[in-house]
Amino acid sequence: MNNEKELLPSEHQEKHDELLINTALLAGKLLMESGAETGRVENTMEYILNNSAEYAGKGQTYVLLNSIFAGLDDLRTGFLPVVKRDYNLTKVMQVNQLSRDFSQQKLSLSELNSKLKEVQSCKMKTLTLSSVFFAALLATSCCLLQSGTWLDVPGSCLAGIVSYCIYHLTCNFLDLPFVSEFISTFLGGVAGYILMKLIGGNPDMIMLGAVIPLVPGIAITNSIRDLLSRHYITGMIRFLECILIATALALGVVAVYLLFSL
Amino acid sequence: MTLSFGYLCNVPIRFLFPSGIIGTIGWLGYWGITQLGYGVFSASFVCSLILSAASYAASVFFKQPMTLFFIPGVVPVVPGINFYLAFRDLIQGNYAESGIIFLHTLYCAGGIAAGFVISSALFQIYNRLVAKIKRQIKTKISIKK
Repeated sequence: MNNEKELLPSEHQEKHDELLINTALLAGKLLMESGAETGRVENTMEYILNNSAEYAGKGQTYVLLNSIFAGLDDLRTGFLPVVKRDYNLTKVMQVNQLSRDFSQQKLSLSELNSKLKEVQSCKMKTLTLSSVFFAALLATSCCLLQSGTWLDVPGSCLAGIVSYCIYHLTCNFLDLPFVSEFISTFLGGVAGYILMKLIGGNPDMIMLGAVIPLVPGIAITNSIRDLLSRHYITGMIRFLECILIATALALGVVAVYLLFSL
Repeated sequence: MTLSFGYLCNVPIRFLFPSGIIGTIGWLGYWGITQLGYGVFSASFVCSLILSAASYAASVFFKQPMTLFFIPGVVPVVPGINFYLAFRDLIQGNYAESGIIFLHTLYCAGGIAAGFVISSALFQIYNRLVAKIKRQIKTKISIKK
């Protein structure tokens, strides 16, 4: 009997540890998936791990772009891969709010875990009419900012819409990483080019419209930011990914030029 | 442009407009400095300083994380298009031009990142100073009592 009584608290402890690590990993994964920077992910996870007094200074994290590790000293280590990344700042905000509540002792650990799961189950971006409208607005404004004329606007607008829609459709159906970018810029470029033939305008500007919804601009800046903050591996992975995406986009556009110069 | 990118990034709708204003401020800064004849690096550096100051103010005001305002705000300045242009030229065989654009892109991204890092360092110092001053005031009050 005595033995059993001693066992129970330790089992309880083990479960608590497991929950703690899983929660921290889940928070980190959510943040990483929705486009937060590496430093923020690490900070949040360490906050969660080191929150209670008995664990202070024990939690350790190691965050890469595509996988997250979290450990408690000598006790346990957890690992989660991060496969799909996107920009979803609402989720970043929600997770941030939750972890802040948790560190102010407003939420218990199990509540935090269930709420994080709620956030995770929220649907990713869907193709709605308003998002298409905003993609068109993005293409238009980019075209004008890059010293395009109003004559270029309809073409680039159409190209942006087509490439954005096709990107989302192919993302859902195909699991090929860089092919969907290629296809979407190609088709968007074709649509824009045809419209340009009818109205007139500068083909370079119209290709900008096709490319702009998919361009990895923020990722480049983030990669250099990571490099500057000593997350070398993450920075290099990001940079490499940017190069590949940009190559795919450029190939799509060059394919359009080739098609119409034949 | 910031507005639309913010929407595509799923910024909550009530914060769309502030981030749009921040993006406008950043772009105006970038444009003004390039018009004054400075290079890309300094332009994007100063612009990201301005941007992060603005988004810091907004994040304090709305009590939300700073990235919420910074990421959509930085989009107009970010060298995504140049990056793509570099690779387009590379594929089309204009090696010299592609190299120039690529370096340009790197400078621009480096400038933005450096500006952000330096400004975040400044904010840390500022926060610590504020905390220290607050503590001193508190102790003074308690001594008076």
